[in-house]
Amino acid sequence: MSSPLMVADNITAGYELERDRKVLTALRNVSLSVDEGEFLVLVGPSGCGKTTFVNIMAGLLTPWEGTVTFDGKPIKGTGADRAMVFQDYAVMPWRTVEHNVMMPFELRDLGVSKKESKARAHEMIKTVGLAGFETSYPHELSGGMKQRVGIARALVTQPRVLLADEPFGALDAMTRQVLQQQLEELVMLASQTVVFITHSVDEAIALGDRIAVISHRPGTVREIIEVDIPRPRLAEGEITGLPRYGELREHLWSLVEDEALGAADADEIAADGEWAAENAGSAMTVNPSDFGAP
Amino acid sequence: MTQLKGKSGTQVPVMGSEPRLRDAERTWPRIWRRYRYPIITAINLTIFFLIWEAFGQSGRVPSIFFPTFVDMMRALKIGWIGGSGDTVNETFDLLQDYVIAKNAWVTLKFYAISMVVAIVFGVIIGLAMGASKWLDAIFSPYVWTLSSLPRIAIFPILVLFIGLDDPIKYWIIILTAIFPLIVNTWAGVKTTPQSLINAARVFGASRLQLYRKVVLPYTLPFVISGIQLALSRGLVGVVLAEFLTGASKDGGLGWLIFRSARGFNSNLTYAALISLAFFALVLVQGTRTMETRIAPWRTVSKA
Repeated sequence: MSSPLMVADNITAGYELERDRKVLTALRNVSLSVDEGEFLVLVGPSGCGKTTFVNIMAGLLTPWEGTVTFDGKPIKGTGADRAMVFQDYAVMPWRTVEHNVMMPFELRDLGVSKKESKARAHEMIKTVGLAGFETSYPHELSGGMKQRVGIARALVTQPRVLLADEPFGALDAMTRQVLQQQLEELVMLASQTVVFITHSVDEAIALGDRIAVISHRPGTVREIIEVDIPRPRLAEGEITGLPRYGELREHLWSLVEDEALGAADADEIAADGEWAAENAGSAMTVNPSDFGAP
Repeated sequence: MTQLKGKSGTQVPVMGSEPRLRDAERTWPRIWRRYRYPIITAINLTIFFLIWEAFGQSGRVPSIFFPTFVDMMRALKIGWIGGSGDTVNETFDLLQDYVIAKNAWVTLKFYAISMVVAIVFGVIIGLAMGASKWLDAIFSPYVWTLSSLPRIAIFPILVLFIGLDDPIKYWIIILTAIFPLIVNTWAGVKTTPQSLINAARVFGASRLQLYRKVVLPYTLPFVISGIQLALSRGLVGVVLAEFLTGASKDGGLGWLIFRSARGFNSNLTYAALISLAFFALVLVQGTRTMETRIAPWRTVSKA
C-alpha cells in the first residue's frame, strides 16, 4: 500500500515496580511497522505489554533496547504528529468539552490562533456528534460521550497517527458498537493511520486492516493477520455472519486462547501489583470471556 | 367541566378539571417545597429559645451560670450596638457598650492575618512537597509528627521562646491551622491521575504546563477542603490563644468568654459565645459555597 510510517525495531521495554523494586519486562524483541493510512490492531491478553507498546510509540516511554522511528527519524519524546486516546478518557474534569478539545493547541505552539483553534474544536466536536455540548463539563456526560471528547481532542490537530489504548474497553456493548462504527467512518474519510489496542477479538476484526497478536508477557508478536473483509464493515448490518469473519475469528481466537490461559495461570500470583503500575486505576483480571470465548 | 358531587353537595374536583381550584391547591405546597428548610430551621430555633427562656426563668439553675434568653439578648445588644444607659452601674462590670464588637474586632484581626499566612505557606509547602521527592523527604518527618501531635502540647515551649505578647497568638493560630492545608495540598498533587498527566504530555505539555494545567487545577478542590479545615481549626487556635494570653492589652472574644465566665457574667459569656458561633457558621457556609462555585465537578462526584 505505502511505505512504513512508524517502525519499531527489536524493542525490549519494561518498567520498575516502585513498591517492591522489581524490574518487569513487558515487551521482548518486538518488531512491528505501521504503514501510512493503515488501521493496525494489537490484540493480546491483559498485561501483555500492549499499553507499553503504544506508550513507546507516543513517546511517553523509552525502550530499554531497540529503536523506534517515525518517518525515518528516531522518536524522542511526544510529538504533534502522534495523538492518543485513553481507556479512561483522560479528559480534564475542570474543562468544558470545547476547552478540552482546544487543549492540544494550548499546549503546543502549532501556529494556530486562538480563534481558529476554537473554530476547529467546534467543527471536530460536531464531527464526533457532540454538537450542543460544547460548554458542558465531563461530569455531565456519559462514558461514551467522554470518549467522544477524547477522540475529538486527539483528532483536532490532524495528527498523522492516532494511538488508541483500549478506548472502548470501559464502555457498554451498545455504546461500543456505535463508537466503533463512527470511528471506522472517520478513519476511512481521512485515511487516518491508527494503532489500536484491544483485548476483544471481535473489535479487532471489525476495525483492523492488520491484527498483530501479542503473546503473554513478556510480549512478543506471535502472528500478524491481514483482515481482508472490505470496508465499510460496520455501516450496514452485521459482518459477524460472513463466513470469512468466522474463519478469522476462529483462527484469532485459537491464537489468543493459549495466551489468555497461560496468562491466567502465570498472573494469579504476580498480576495485581504489575497492573497497578502499568494501568493505574483499572483493576483487571484475565478472563477467557474477555476474548469473546464461546 | 367534569365534576362530581360529593355527598354533602360540595364539589369535589376531579384531577385536571378545575383550573382555579388546582392553582389554590398548588400555592401552599409550592411555598413549602421551596422554603421548607428555612421554615423548619426558624421553628426549630424558636422552640429552642423558648425552652431556654423557660428554663432560665424557672430558677432551677442560678442565673450566674445560665442567663435567660432575654438577658442574653440584652447583653448581645449592649455588646454590639451599645445603649446600656443607666442599666450598667458597676464600673468593673465587663458588660460595657460595644464590648463584644471591640473584642470581636481584635479576634477577627488576629484570625484573618494568621489565616492568610497559614493558607499561603500551607499551600506552598504542600505543593513543594508534592512536586519534589527531595523536599517531601526533608519536610515529611516534621509535618507528619506535628500534624499528628496535639498542638496544645507544644505551646508551653512556644511561650518560653516567644512570651505571652501578641506574636504568640499568630504562632498558635498558624500552627493549629496550617497542617490540614499542607497535607491536603500534598494529597491533591500526589493523587493526580497518571492518565491525565500522560494525556497532557502526549499533547505536548512541558513540565511547567503539566503543573499549571493539570496538577494545580486537580489539586484546587483539595486546597479548598484544606482551607475549610484550616478555617475551623484556626478558630480553635484563636480562642485558645486568647485563653492563654489572658490579660494582655487586647482581649478578643475568647478572652471575653473566659473573663466574663470567671466573673459570673453569664449573660455576656453566652452573648459572646453566640457571636462566635454565628461567625463560625457564616465562615463554614461561606467556604461551602466557595467550593461549589470553584470546583463544580467535585461536588457532583461527591454526591
